[in-house]
Amino acid sequence: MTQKESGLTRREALAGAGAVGFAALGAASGRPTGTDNWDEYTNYTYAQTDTPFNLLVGWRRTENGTLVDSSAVGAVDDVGAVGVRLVDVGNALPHDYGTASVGLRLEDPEDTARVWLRIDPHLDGADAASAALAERVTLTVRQDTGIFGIGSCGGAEGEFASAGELIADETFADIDGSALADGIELRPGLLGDGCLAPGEQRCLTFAWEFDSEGGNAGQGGAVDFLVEFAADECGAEGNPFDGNVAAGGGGGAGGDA
Amino acid sequence: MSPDDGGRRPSGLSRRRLLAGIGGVGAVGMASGMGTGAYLADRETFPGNVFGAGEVGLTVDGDPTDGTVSLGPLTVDRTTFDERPGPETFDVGASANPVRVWLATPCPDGDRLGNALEVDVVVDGESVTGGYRPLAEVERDLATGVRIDARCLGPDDDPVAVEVFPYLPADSPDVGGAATDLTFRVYAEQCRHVAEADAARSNPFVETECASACVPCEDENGVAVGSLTLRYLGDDPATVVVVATGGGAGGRGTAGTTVFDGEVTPDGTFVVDGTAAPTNGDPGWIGPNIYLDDGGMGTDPETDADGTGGNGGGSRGNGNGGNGGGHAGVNIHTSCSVPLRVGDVYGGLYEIAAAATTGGEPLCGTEEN
Repeated sequence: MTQKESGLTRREALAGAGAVGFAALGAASGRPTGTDNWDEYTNYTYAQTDTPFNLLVGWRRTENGTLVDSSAVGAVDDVGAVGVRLVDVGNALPHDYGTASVGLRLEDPEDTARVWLRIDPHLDGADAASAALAERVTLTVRQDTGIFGIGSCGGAEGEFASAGELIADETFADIDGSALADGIELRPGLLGDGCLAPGEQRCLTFAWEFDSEGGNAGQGGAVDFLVEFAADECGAEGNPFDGNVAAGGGGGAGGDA
Repeated sequence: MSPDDGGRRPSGLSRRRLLAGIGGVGAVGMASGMGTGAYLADRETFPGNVFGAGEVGLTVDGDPTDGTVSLGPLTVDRTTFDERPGPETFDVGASANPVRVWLATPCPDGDRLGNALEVDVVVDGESVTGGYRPLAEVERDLATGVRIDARCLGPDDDPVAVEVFPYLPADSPDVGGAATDLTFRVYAEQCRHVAEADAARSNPFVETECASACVPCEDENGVAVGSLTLRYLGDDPATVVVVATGGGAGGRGTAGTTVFDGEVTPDGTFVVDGTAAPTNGDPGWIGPNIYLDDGGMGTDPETDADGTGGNGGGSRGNGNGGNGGGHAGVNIHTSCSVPLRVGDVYGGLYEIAAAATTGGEPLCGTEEN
């Protein structure tokens, strides 16, 4: 944003937009402290599946502190079919921020499962603006475990959200090609075998922020990505995302059949 | 930043297709009896997540701008105030997100019209220049930027109207044939996340310092000299008398008005102020000529007795210096018909140590100054 005496191009004029005068982040509004009782995860409802593992999903997301979408209470949606998005931002500006909260529960009377997460930004072939944007947007993913289980699944706006085990805290550019882009197992804590028991839940919080530093880099760009969860048998070894049937959609259930 | 339900992006494979594929794998495993060889799995995909950045931009007269708006060439004739020409105009709008907008000009460049041409810059009906003022002054003031949006300018708001009224007064110096441009810079910054109280710090022009704030006095450019600080270069103390004449100075013709009469010492300075020479129309103007007399004879061997000569504009001279109108001593043209610069020496006795316009702006110096 240096304009002294020189001709001021639009790009120069806008160059400092991200670096000047941005207000401090406001406190996220939202729900009170969460609870470790899934049933108190009130605004969440579950997606329905019809496969052996009934992996149910609840979600909510906010933008700049305002709730913009959540699973409707009492409704049952197919997450993929209805195109539920955890991040759906088309006009972000520096210093924007948002959250997404996801709850998973294995609603199966007998089986146990391992749960895996994959986030793949697919930055290959991204245009310059999108690549630059990916360098400026940070995604923080945590297990929403609360403190010793207290306040777990409280959501990203919950009081204990920041206490959860950190899964990732990096830009989309860094996520691209990282282990998270290949799939990681959600295995909070050191106790147990990491298997999700019937009726047990795993909750995650996502927080993104458009870095205010960087001027106009990324202006007009876009980063697309999938957030995928996979449930696999407890006895399974290896990454269930390996051997996908198609890029971007996931598929094959791990297994060397 | 709200969700755009109508613009869903492709999500790749549908979940139903994925599940069908998974089911197939499971069936193979079960059929083979190798329960651990083919795992059943479920998958939930949040597809098509997108993080898209918005844009901040401005339009000028409806078209995207690179931040520069040039008006001109402004060719105006000397005229009366009532017959001054109409304004040059342009509109500034927001192209996408709400923005704060600053308007600025480059620093004055010594344009010949800069001190003669007056302009009034009006934004949405209100002058940001305090009415008509010399172009050079306006450029100097606006170089540090002025906010022109009322609060935040949104893409659906009416654009900001900028009007520039040029006016060349009838009594201004003859600058016939001259033309000038007036360039504006516009700058926008997002309003979102920037509190109004912090907006002033976003003005990108605020620290602009024009390289030279001096005003040239040359080519009859209309500059009115208001004061001169002169250094006496004589060898001995002397009583110096300065008389302003001509151009209505005091209305006394060649007799002039004594604007200074006092003792000066070698290398000492004294001030000749225009307020002591009430001229027609501009009480602060020192007038078109002053004559300085220290009582000596032949102070400058190259000074003609009739005042038509000069010292030839040597390295320390200026082409002035002759007597005139029957006055003894040294003549200094203060009408800017010939260059008048800080550092100039007249008759070998008087050096311009400092000078200012009637508005208090310093005059430019010689290259050494």
